[in-house]
Order: sequence, then structure tokens, then C-alpha cells
Amino acid sequence: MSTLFRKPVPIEEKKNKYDTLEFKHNPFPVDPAVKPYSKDERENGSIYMTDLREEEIQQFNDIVLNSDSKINLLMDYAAYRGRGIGKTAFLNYLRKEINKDLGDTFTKGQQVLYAIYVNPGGEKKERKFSHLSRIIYQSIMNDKLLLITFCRLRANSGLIPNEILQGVTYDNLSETLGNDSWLIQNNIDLQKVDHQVETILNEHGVTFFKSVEPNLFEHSFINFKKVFSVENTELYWKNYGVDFVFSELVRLFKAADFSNIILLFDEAEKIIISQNFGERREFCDNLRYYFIDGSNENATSHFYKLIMTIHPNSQELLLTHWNAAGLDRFSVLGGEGANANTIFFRPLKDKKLAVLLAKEYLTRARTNISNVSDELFPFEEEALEKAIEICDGIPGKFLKLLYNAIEQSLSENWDKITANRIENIWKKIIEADPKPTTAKSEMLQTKTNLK
Amino acid sequence: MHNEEPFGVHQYWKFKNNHSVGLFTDMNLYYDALAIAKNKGFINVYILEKNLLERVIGLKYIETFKKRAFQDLIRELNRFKLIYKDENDFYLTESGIKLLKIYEKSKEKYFDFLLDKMNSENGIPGWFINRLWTINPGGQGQVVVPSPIKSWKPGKQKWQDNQWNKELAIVSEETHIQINRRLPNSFPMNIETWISEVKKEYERLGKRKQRRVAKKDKEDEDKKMEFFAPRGRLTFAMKNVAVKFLFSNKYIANETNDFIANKKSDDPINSRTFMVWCPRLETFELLYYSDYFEEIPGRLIFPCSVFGTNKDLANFSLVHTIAAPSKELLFRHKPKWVQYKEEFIETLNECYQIIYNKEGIIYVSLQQVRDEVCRLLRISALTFEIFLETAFRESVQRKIEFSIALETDIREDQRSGFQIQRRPVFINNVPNSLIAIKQFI
Repeated sequence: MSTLFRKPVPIEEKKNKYDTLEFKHNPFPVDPAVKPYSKDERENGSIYMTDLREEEIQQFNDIVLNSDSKINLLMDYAAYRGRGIGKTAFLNYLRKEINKDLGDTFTKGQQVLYAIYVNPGGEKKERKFSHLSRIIYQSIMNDKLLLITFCRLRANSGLIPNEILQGVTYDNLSETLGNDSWLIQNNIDLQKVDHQVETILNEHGVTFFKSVEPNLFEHSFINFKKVFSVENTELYWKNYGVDFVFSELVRLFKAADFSNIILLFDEAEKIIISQNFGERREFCDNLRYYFIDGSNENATSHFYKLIMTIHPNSQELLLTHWNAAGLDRFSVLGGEGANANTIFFRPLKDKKLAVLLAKEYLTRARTNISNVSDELFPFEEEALEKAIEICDGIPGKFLKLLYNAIEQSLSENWDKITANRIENIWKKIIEADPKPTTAKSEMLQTKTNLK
Repeated sequence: MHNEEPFGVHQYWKFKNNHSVGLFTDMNLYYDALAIAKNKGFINVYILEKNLLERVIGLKYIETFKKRAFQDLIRELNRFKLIYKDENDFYLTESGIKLLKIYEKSKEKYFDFLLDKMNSENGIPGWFINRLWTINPGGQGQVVVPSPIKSWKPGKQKWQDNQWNKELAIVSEETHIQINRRLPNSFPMNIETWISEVKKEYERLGKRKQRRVAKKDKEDEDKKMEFFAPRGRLTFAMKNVAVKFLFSNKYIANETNDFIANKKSDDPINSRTFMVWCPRLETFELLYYSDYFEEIPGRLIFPCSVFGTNKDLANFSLVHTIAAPSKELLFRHKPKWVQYKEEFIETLNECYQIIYNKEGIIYVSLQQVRDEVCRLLRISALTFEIFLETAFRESVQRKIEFSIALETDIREDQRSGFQIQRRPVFINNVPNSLIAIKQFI
């Protein structure tokens, strides 16, 4: 066959160099950064040890779920240690945990919640509040939230018997309640249901669909989604977008009986750093207007709960504007009062927890779990403890170090990875990486002698 | 005159007038004022105020000068006999017209002319360089005027709260220790004396009259400042003490005064004129100074010139008009590119690598690299610019083994505070502020 039409060899058929250790692949992620929509479980955050972050989860419960605070912060406790400490992984864990049963477990059945992960791009284009609104909107559209809303509206119409609703699960929504023919098959009067949904929406003041489409539910969920797909132009977002997100969508979600939507706003510093003085002030003013006391549906009904991850340095940038906008009375940025609305993220203190984390990664990668006598193989326990110690308790660095250790143990045929070996690998990484050198006691000697 | 003095009698540094100096540092102002006088027929303070162009210092745009600067400028021009007074206006002299022509022909000669005038009128330039060499002969004349260690960041304090305390004493001590650990002998004051003198000065400054708040509006209430910044006051106190110690008429290690003094307090420079002479002498390429050496709390000054009888003229150029009482002549360190190329490029790369390894960012502050290269090679900022421009050109032509990238972009940290007033590196008349260097593979 011509090389032109050659197909790539599927990954499974390539020789697996990790066979000797009985792994499917290197158990640890090559880039220790969470990619929420990746298929690889090493990087999409599905390997998550709640034991590691019990304290933070408790703080989340106290500060976000069981309080009226609308703007909350997630901050590294140690300054400038930000990368790899696990903030994104934590947000991702919250998103999954909340969304799997709409917050049932988290709130012991008290509230109906949904969490949206919001992450600004790195292009520095997003500097205004309208840009943030657009990112929130896009995250909503890319998520399952609209489908769940649509199905909840139908379910709440009171026209679908409980027996039928029992067959609906989180995963089959689009084939069941979201699918018109499924309802017809189950002898439901579709028209009546849709009419009832329209009434509910009307009662809650959702007006958006009327101007766009008179026959709202003619084409099922696809049409519903289309109705709430707004123009993606700068002009639209400048003029109407913010109100759409903070009033119209809020009314829609309230109509579907959501108690709150939690906005997990990661990497807020991307927006803040690229802002100029005026933009920062405006941003803070808008935060106050749209989250706390403006005349919009969200502020009046305290619907969205915001958690911003913020680095200590961007906190400094924002502080004056934050206080000038009067936000400090509602949510304190830094200082003593910050405890009431800030989840502080600390490096891992307990070495045993780090060992557990490594064990979880190892187990998931093993080809033959039942046959393993040593769950930490090829690591020695002290090696893992050493690793977390030299990584200053930062999980991201720790995982990357273990990745390198596995690679090296294969290329050099080690039978065990010991603490000594871990230390040697670390030394090599440090040498390759430019690192702050401690200031010499004396400066370099002048080379030229003028005398 | 001094030729006839008998052998063994102490010879003083000579000057015609007095040590006072205008409080401005831009050496082009003389030319600008003379050009206006030529254009308008005469000048006075009002005309200068109206006509002197706004200018840029470092990266900061200076729209107007203080009136005081114009008065000073006119006084100096008059003293240098470049203008003369007739009633209330000033007119160009022959020598003024000559200087205009010199400027247009050669900037270097224009600076030499001014240097000559300043040296004979004030007596400072030559003496200043000599004093640096006297203070630290083993360290090639490098001297530090301390300011509080960089890590000390106190808040503001109530105006009345002006007591000396333990914290201030620790900061003063630590400042002294850091300087002398990193550059031994560059501030040779006894540490106990230092702390007690700084204390005295700090307390004296605290007893001054409470300053008033600047009024935004005429009708604003007359208010006194409620707070002061301890860092600012301690910096000022340290500078006063250090300048007095380093640059008084009789240096501690000398037996006699340098200048004939009428009064005991007649010191050649004080902390205010010190701030004027540093940039002036830097323009004349006699010294280099910087407040931004990361490891040094304070201003590091070192001469790029030296007194001697005979110097190799491939590396030095004679400053014709300045001689020491010992008859030694002043030589500027002015190496030629061809002989100095390798040493310069090697040092440039070395300094870049040190900063790069510390910060891990490919583009590092060019000013920081310049400070260190000039310190190691004892060259002036202007020589550095000329050499860097040549190196850059040769790098493009692959005549040297390094690829050099220069950027005009200014990083956030270079924009803050006094950094903005820092002299940029001019390459091809464009201020550059970042540099990256890589070896060609």
C-alpha cells in the first residue's frame, strides 16, 4: 500500500515498555496539571483522594454551602507556591461530587446545586466583566446544566408519573426526558407537558424565549438549547450579555428549582493581571453590583455562589480596588478577616497521605491487581515519603517526580526505587532547572585594575 | 602659584569660586538655554520657563522644572562666563557662542568644556574621583552610601512618634554588615559610630517642624502632616551621615583638609549636592553609580577614571583639564572595542547567566546586566552602550558566538517606584530594557 494511505499503529499494539513492572502505562501523569475534559484518568482529576483535603472540604462546606457569603476565595496559604498544589484538582473534585447528585450528599438533601467550572483563556483578551459573563455562559453551554434544567422543568410539570421518572438517570437524560419520542412512547401528552413548562417559565419571569421563538418546544431539547444560544459577538455581550447571564439565566434555573449554582472560577489572576488600573476598579464594582447589591435577579436572590482561586500576588493587585468598591464589607480579601470567606490551600503535611495518593495512582495502572504483594512496588515507602518532603508537600511536583522515577527505573533496570534514588533524580531536575542561587557572601571581584 | 610652594608643604585642591552647584543634573540644559539666548537675543528665568522643552528622565516624562532650577542654571551659565548680565536680562558672551558651536560639532568636547568649567569653578569633579580612590584604594575606589536594607518595610507612623528604637538600630546595623560583607571596605565607618551617628541624625530630623499637607485648592484647610514614613526618614538620616563621613573636607584617614576652609563646617559637598554630582560626573564618564545592585543596600559608586602620571593610551584617554595637587593627571578608562571585545562579551554573558540562573526568565533586566558589567570592567554607561551596540551588530552578522536579543518592552517591576527614573540603555537612540543571550549552536 502506498505510504500515503498508511494508518497509525493503535497505541495498544505498540510494545508497552511498562510491561516489566506490570503497568498499563506510566502510573503518573507526564504533565501534572488537571485537564478536566481529558480522557486520561491520570490527568482528568478522577484520581482524587478526599483524605488529602478533608480540611479544605470542611471549609468549603462551612464557607460556601452553609453560609450566605456570595463571593468566596480559594487561596494558597504559602505565598508564591501556587503551581501544582492541587487547587484545580480540588475544584474539579467539587464539580464532580456536586453534580453527580445535584448536591444531595453534600447538603444532605437540603439543596439542589450545580457547579460550573469557569476558566479564562490565557490570551489576555478577557479583561472586562462582560468577558467573564461570556466565559460563564460558555461553560454553562458546554456543560450538562441546560439539559438537566430542561428535564427538571419537564419533570416538575407534574404530568409525568413517578414510575416513569424512576427510569431516568443522570446518564440517560438525553435519551429519556430530553427525548420527545421517549415521552410519546410512554404515553405522555407532550403538548400538555410543554405547555405546563411554558407556564412555569412565565411564572418565574423568564421572557427570553418569547422574543425569539414562539413555538418553544417544537423540536425538543435541541430547540430549547438553540433558544438560549445567544449571539457570540462583542457587541451583544457588551450591551446585553451580562444581564442575560445574571438575570435571565438565573430566572431559568430558579424555575427549574435549583437552589444555587456554584461558579468555580479558576485562575482568576489571568483576568486580573492583564487588567489596567481602570479595568480593575470597574471589575470590582461590577462584582459588587452583580453579586451583592445591584438591581438584577442574581443579586436580589443571591443565586450564583462564586469561588475564585486567586494567587497571593494578584490579590495584592486587586486589594485597593476591592476595598474601594466596598467589597471588603462582604468578602474580605486578605488579612485577618479573610478566614470567613477564604478556603486556604496548604501543602500536604502528612507524608502518609502522599503515600496513599501514590498508591492510588499505582493501583489504577496495574495490569494485574490481584497478583500484587507489595502495593507500592516499585517504590519503597521511604522513597515516597522522601519525595513529598523534597517537593515541599506540593502534589503536582510530587507526581511529576514519581513519573520521572518510573522512567528512570526502566531505563536503568532498577529493582527498587529507594529514597536515595529519589534524591538523586531530584538533584538532576534541580540542576537542569534554573533555580535561585543563594547570594554569595562577597560579590564578584572587579576584573579590571585601573591603577 | 603652587609651583613655587616649598617641598613638603601641604598642597590644597584649587577652585576659583565656591562649592555651590545648581540642583539639576541634565547636562544638555546649558546648551538648550544658550540656544534660546541665541534665538531670542537674551534669556531670563521667565523665558527659560516658557521655552525649555519638556524632557524625559529615565522613563519618566518631566513636563516642567522647578523655578529654582532655572535660577540655578542662569547662575551657573553666568559664573562660567557663557552669559553676562545687563539690567535684568542675560546675553550670550563670545565663549557662549563658541560653546554652541562646539556642541554641534562634538558632544564629547562640549562635555569636556563643561567639565573644565565646573572643575575650575567648584573644584569638585577631580577631587571627588580622588576621594573615592582615597576611601577604598584596595577596592578600586568603590564606595557605598548606605540606605536601609531592602527587606525592611515599615508602615507609616504618627508624626510625633519619632523615637529611636531597637528596630531602627537593628536595621542600621544589618545595613552596615551587609555592605561590608559583600564589598569589604566600601563603607569603612566604624559600626558603633555609624549606629550612634544615624541615631543622632534620625532624632534631629524628627525634631524638624511638622510639614504641611499640600493644598489642592486655595480654600483647603491648612493642615499639618499627620504621618511620616520611617523608611524615608532613616534613608535620609543614613545618607546625611554617610556623605558627611565620606566627603567631608578632611577625610578621617587624612591628616589635613583637602581644600582651604574658612569655616569648620565648610564641607565641599553635602547630601543634596552629592545627589547632583553623581549623575553629572556619570555624564562626564568619570564614574558609574547605581542604587539598584540587588545585594547592596544603598548607592554603589565607583570611578571609571584614575589619577596617574602615565597611562597606556589604548585603554585610557587623558582628561586634559584636571590634575591633582600632586600633579598627577586624570585618565578616563576608555578601552577600544578591538582589544576589549572578548573581555566585554565574556563578561556580558557571565553577568547575564548569573541573573538568568537566579530568576529563570530568559529576558532579564538590561539595566541590571549593565550595572554588573560596568562594575566588573570599570567602564562608563556610555562605553557600555557603544560596546553593546557593536556586539549586537556583530551578533547579527554572526561574528561572535552569541546571539543577543534586546527588547524595548518594560516589565511591570521595572515600571514601579524609582525604577522608572533609572537610566535606560540607549541602543541606536532607542531605550532598551531587556536582554537575552544564547550561544549559537
